[in-house]
Amino acid sequence: MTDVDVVVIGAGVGGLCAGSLLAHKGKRVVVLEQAERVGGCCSTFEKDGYKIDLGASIIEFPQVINWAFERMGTTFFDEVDLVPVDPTYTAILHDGTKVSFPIDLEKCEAVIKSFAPDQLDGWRRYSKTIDGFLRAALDGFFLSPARNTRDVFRLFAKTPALLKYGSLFMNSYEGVLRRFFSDERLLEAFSFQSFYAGLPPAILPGHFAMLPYGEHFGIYYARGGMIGVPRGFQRCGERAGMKVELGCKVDKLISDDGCVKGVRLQDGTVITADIVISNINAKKLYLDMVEPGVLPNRVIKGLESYRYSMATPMLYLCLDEAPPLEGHHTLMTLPMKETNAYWFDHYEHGHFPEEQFGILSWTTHSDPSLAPEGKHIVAVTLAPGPYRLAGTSWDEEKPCLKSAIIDHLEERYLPELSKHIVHADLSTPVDFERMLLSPEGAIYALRQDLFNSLVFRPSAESQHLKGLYLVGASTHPGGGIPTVTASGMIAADLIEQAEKEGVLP
Amino acid sequence: MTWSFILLGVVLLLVGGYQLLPLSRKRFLKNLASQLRYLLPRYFV
Repeated sequence: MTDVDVVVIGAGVGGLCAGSLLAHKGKRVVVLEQAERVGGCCSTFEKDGYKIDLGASIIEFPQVINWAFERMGTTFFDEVDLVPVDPTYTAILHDGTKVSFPIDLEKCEAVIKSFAPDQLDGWRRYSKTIDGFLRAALDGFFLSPARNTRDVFRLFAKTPALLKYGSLFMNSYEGVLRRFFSDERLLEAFSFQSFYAGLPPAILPGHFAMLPYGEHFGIYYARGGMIGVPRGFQRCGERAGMKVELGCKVDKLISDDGCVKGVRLQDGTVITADIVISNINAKKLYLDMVEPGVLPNRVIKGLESYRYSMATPMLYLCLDEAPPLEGHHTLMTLPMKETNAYWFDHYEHGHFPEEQFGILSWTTHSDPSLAPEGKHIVAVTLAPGPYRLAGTSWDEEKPCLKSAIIDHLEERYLPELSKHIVHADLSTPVDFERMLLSPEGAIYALRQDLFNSLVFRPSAESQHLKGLYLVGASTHPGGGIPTVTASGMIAADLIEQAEKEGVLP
Repeated sequence: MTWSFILLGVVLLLVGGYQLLPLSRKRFLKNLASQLRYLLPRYFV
């Protein structure tokens, strides 16, 4: 008899989703989290009465998250107080032009018509193509495992409509958008979203070009902070007996004869279980936590070949008055060519410029209760930050960089910003690594290009250790709140299926 | 001999076609090409 049926390493959204689903199936589940709060990147911390989001700032594709809650007899909207965000975002282009895209597609079309009238036909063709792709993908792609070629054949057999959109996978994000749009300003307004999947427009696979359109399916913010999403899963799981232990770091995975047997904590405690679900970076799990000799050399070689995804430094601003922004989400953009050039000429060479682009998330616009009365919070998601800075280090650069970025924001986007700052803190990739134990501060675990996807991403069901399952950004379908939720559902399904087939003890 | 010419033609077409591609497309293909050798080991992870 084991201590519990299931150990989940890491209380990120994927881990809590899988854990709570299995608890509702009658399993004894314990979730072990090294930090003092749940959520990983989708979390909220408090400082002097301000509730500040750590990383994730909005919820897209809420229907995918809702599927998980529905499996537990409730809904996402009942468990988490969701505030609709409309417009999707306001883009402040490099030339200073502002354009806001309303959620409503008719209103959005009117905006395109006035902003770039000759692009209206392209917008209609883009909307039609991406709408068809998204509806097929939501059905087939999100909840299907991709452990091997058989799974992929099944995925396409289940949703043959996806085959129609095969060309999207063989082009880049930029290439797909250029098929529909020729106006550089409109392309600029859609360029930053490629970093929502962790790569620049030139190399991100084309199917991610659904991101600007997908926002019209609805965007929400969790009242009380983004930690509301993982806490919703935690509450649901705890109702079914799931336990969440905070401040509990797992040191090693225990295995015997190709089967997992549990985990050993940093303090030496052993928790036995026949099923372990890992919600941590797969490369770290397999290379640091699995005993040497368990994995064949070809697997080690595969693991070592993965590159970590990008990290995004964050600047947290607490202000004594409302910022001069138009809504919850504002994108500070660069023309698409410069967005790509940033990646290839700066990021890849370890440079992090003071002149920034990125996202301004005015969270108190959606929920004023996050700050003391009359005060405000803007969380700034900065441009992708290289983990290794050329010739210096993040700790060394941090103080100067913080004030230089504030000066730049003040000059271009938030006039008189410095006069209204109550508190400002810069969180670097190194800080993220220390805080979340995410190697290199990677926010999507591993890079998400085509050859890191589907069967080439670490399998949700370990091929070498029976009873080991992966959830979160490291496995299919990748990083992002809806996708890691989907990974939790996939793992729960695979475990149920393995038990039915008698594969698990 | 004939086959050598055909092969040479195909190679020249591929190289020429690649050169004509826009920079962003070249970067996309170059990024994929740089990872081809990892596909098999990654498949086993």
